[in-house]
Amino acid sequence: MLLALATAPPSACQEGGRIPVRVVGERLLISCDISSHKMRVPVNLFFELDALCGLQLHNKAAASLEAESGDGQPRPLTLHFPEFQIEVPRREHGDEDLLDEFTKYFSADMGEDAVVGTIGAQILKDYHLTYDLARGYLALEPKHELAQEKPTPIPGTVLLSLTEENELLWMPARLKDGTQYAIAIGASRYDTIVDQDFAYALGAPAGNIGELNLGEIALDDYLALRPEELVLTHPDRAIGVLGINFFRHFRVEIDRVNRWARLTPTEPPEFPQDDLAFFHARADEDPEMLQAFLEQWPQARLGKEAAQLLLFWRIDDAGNEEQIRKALAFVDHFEQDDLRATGALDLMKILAGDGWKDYQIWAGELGLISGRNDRYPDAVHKIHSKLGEIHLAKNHSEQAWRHLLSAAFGMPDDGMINLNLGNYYEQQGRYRRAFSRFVQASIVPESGPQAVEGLMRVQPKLGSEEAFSVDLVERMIEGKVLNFGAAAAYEANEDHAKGKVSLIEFFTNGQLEGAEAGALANEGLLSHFKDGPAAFLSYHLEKPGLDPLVQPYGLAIAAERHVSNPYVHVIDGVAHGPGGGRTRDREAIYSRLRDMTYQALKLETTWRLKVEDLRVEDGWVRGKVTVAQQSEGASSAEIGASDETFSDHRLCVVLAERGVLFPGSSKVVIHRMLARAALTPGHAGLEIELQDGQMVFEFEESLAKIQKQNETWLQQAMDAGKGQTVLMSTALDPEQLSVVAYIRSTSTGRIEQATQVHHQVDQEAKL
Amino acid sequence: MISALLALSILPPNGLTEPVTVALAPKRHRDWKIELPAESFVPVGNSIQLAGSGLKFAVSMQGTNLSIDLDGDGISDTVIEGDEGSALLRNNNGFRYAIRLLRNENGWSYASSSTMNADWNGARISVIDQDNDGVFGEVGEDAILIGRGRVATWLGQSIVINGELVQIDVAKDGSQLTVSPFQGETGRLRLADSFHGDGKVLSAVIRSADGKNCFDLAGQTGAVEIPTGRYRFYSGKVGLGQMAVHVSSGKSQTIDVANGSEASLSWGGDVNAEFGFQRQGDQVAFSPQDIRYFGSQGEEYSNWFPVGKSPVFIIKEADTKQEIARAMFPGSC
Repeated sequence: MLLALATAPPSACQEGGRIPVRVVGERLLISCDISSHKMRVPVNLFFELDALCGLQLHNKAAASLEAESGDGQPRPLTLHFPEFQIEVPRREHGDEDLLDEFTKYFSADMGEDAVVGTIGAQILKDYHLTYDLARGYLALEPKHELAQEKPTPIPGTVLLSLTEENELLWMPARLKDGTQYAIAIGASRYDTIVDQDFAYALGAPAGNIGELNLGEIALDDYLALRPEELVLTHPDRAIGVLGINFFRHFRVEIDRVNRWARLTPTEPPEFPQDDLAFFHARADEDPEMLQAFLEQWPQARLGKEAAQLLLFWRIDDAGNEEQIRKALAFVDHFEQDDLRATGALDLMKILAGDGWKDYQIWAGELGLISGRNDRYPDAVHKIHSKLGEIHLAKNHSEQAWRHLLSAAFGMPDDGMINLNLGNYYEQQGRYRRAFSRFVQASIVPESGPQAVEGLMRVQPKLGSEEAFSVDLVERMIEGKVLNFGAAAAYEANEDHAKGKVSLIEFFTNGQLEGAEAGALANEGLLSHFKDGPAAFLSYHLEKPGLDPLVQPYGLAIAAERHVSNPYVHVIDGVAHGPGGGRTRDREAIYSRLRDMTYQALKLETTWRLKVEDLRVEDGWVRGKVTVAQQSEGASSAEIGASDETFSDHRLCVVLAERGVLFPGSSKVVIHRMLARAALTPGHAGLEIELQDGQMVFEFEESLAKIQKQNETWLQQAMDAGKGQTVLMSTALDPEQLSVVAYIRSTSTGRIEQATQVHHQVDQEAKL
Repeated sequence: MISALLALSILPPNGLTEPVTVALAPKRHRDWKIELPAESFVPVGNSIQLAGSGLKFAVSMQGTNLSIDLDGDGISDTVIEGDEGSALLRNNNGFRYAIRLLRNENGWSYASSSTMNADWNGARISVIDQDNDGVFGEVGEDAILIGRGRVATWLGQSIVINGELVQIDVAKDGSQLTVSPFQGETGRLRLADSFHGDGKVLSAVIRSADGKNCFDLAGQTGAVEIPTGRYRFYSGKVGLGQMAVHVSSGKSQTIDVANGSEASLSWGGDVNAEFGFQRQGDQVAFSPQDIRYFGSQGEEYSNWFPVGKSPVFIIKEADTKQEIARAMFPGSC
C-alpha cells in the first residue's frame, strides 16, 4: 500500500488448477464464470500479477451481479474456473473506458463475452503460480509450505531468488557493469518496460541500455525494452516490469513462500529489431525516422501505434498532402482486416475535431475500401454519412448525394443522414423530398433543431395552402414518435365540486432523460381532461442543462411552488406528483396524476373566472379576465354583488402556447402548454379587489416583447456560464396561444380556481 | 591545469554562468494526462478569445453539439459532438493553439491542450498556459513541468533543474525561454527523499509564504538549493503502479529556509485518519466523504485512485475493548 492503510484480504486459497490463457490485444486474458447471490455469468478478465488490486469489475457488470447491496455493502463473489474456484469478498472499481474500448476492438477474439475486469496481485499472491504461455495455460496451486532447503536445480532451467515489495514480486537484474537492480514480474502489458528516467540518464532514450541479465539469461537477447514512466519502488532500485513478451519465451514458476522463480526456456531468443527501431524513432520524435521505420517493417507488431503517431505528428507539423496521405495509408495498412472501416470512422472523428475535411475524406475513402468486411456493419454507413456531410459542405453535390443515399440505405432512421439529405434536396430545389427528410430528422435530438429550421425554410416553398405550424409537424410525425392518449375522457362526477377547475402544472426540461415519460403522462391528462375541468401549464427548468424553452417566468413559478427538479407535476399549486421516469411507467404516472386531480376537484370553491374577448392583432395579445365570487349557499349562477378586497388571494394570468417545437435529448418533440410570460405586471399576480361583486382585468401584451425578453434572458444565462443552447422556438405562434387564469391563496399556496381559453384563429380571415 | 580543474569544480551542475535563451516548440497532447496545480476550463460562450494572440474564434450551438470556427475566418470548420473533444485553433500566420473541450450541465468549456517544450542540458522543460488565455509565462498563473513526468507545478520566477536553482523568463507568446543563474540568498531543503512510505514521489511541491516561489522537488535527491524564505508543503502526488494519491497542505507546518542553512521536511507515514460517524440506535454509519487522512507532517492525503480500497472501521466495546463489528466502504467508493 502507498501508506500502509489496513485493507481486508480479498480472497482465501484452498484449491488450485489450470486456467487456459490467451494473449488478446497484447493482454493476458482468461475466461471464467463469475457468480453472486443473484446470478452466474461467463466473463473475460485480464490477468495481471503487477496490478495492485484484487478483483476489479466494470460497474455495469457489478450492478448486474448486485455486487453491492442497496446500502452499498459489498457482497462476496465467486470466480469459477474449470478445476477450482476463488471466493472474493468484494470487488473494486474497474477502468470502464478501457474495458469498453478493448471489448469494442477485440470482441471477435474474445467470443461473446466482454472483458469486464482484472484479477490482480491481491488475489494472486495467495497462489503458487506458473505461467506457461507456450502451452496456453496458467497454473494456480495452493501455496507451498516453507521449505528448509533451497529448491533443486534442474538442468536447462534458471533459478532466481525473489523479493517482495508492495505486493509485487521482483527478480534481480544486473547491468553489464554488475550493478544490481530489480525488475518486477508483471505481464499486464506486452512490452517489457524500462524506467524512462533511468534510460535517459544512461543516454539510452530508446531503452537500449545494453546487457540486462536475469541470472544467466541475457534479457537483451530476447526483447527490446520499452522506455515508459515507472511508478514503482524497490530498495535495489526498480528498473522495470517484465511483459508478456518475456513470458512468451519462458515458462515461469513462482514460489512466493520460498521466494524463488524457476525459468525454463520455451522459445529460442529472437531479438525484435523492429521494436527497437520503433523505440528509437519514438524517442527522437522525428517523423522522417518514423516513416522510414514503417516502410522498412510492413509487418511490425508496433506498426499500428507507429502509424498513428506518424499521422498526428504530420498533422501537427502541418505536413503536406503527400505526407498526410502516406501516413493515412500506413494507419489503414496496420489496422485489423475486419476493423478498417471502424478504425477509419474513429480516425475521422479525431480529424473532424480539427476541421481537417480533406484528411477526413482521405481517411473515409480508405475505410470504405474494406467496409464490407468490417465486423460492425454500421461503420461503413456512418462513413458514408460523414463523407456526404463533408462533400455537402464543400458543395460537391453529386458526391454528397451518392454517399448520403448509401448511408440512408443502411441507416434509414439516422437523424444526421436525413438532415443532410434534406439539406441536399433543398439545395437542389427538390423541396418535397427535402421536407420529407427534415421530418424524419426532426424527431432525433442530434438533428432535431436544425431539421425544424429546415422545415420552416422549405415548407413555404411547397406551394401548399397550409403554412408551417406546430400542428402540421405534429401530423407529419404521428406514428414516428411515442404518444399517449387516455382510454376514456373525463365524465362529470358528483363528488367533484361544481364549477371547479384544477390547474395541472408540469415542470420539466428538454434535455432530461426520463422526461418523455412525464410528457406522455401529461399528454394523457390533456386528452382525458380535454373538455373537462382542468387547465394546463408547463415550465422548463435549468437542470440538467439549459434549453431554449427555459424562461424566467417558469423559474419564478418553480420557486413559488417549491420545485427544484424538473420531473414534477403540481396540482393546484400544492400537491406534488411524478413528472418523469421510465417510458414504460407512463401509464402508472398518468393514473396517479389523474387520481390526484380528482382529489383536488373535490374541494369546493366560490371563485368564478372567465377569460373573454381573447384576440391577437398586429402582434399583440389582448383580452380580459373577470373574477367573481359565488355567494355562500347560492347556486353557481348567482354571484355576489359586494365590494371586497382579498389581500391574501392573487389573480394570475398567464400566456402559454399549446404546442412548441423543440426536439431535445429528452425525445419530446412538441412541448405542450408552455407558459411564456405573465400577463399581469408580475408573476405573483394581482391582489383581488371586487367591486360590485367582480373584478375585471384587461390585459394587453406584445408577443415580440415577450420573445425578446426570453431571448435576452437566455443569452445572459449563457454568457454567465449557466449552459449553452440553440436559440430556437422563442417566437410565439398566435395560432398556438392559450391564456390561463387562476386564483391563488398566498397563505396556503393553494390554487382555488382556474380557467383556460385557447386562441381561436379565424381560418377564413387567415386565408 | 589546477586552476582549470578548480574552475570546473565550482561550475554549477548545468554549467550556467550567464543567461541562455532556448527556443520552445509546441507539442500537442491529444490525450491530455498532465496534472495541473489548478486546472480550469473556460466557458465557451459565443467565442473563444485568446488574449495573448488577440485572436477570436466564433462558436455556436447545433443542438447540443458545438460548432467552432477554427481558423478565425468566420466560417464554421468543425462540429464537436458528444461530451468531449479536441480541436486545433490556427491561422495562416502559423499560429497554433490546441484545446481540449468538455461538455457538462453548464455547457461547453475549453482548456489548453499543448505544451511549449525545450530540452536543455538533458532536462525536458514544458511550459503550460494553465489559465488558457494564450499568454505564456505568467508567474503564479501558468504551470511548468520539468522532466518527463506528468505532474506540473506553478510557474515561478525560478526553478530547480538538475538540482540547480536557476531563474527563468518565458516569452509571452511561448516562443522562447531564458535561463539565468539565480541571484539572491539561498538555503537547502531536503524533501523528496525524506518521504516515508512505499510509493514513488511523483510530485512534491513547496510554496513560499509570499507566493513568489514554488518548486516541485520530486526526483531531486538530497538537499536542494532554493531561495531563502518561509515555505510550506503545498501539494504532491504519490504513486505505486496503478495506485495514486494526491497530497495537499492539510495541517502542515511552515519551515524557514535561511541563508546557507539546510533543512529537512519529513513527511509520509504514519498516517492518521480523522472521520465522522452517525449513530442511530444500534446502527452506526460512516461516509467516504467524511474521512480525512493526515501524514506525519500534517499533510493531507485525498483522491485515492483507484476507488474501491477502503479502510476498515472496527467498533469495540468501550470498557472491554471487545470487537463488536467491522465496516468497510463498498467497491464503488
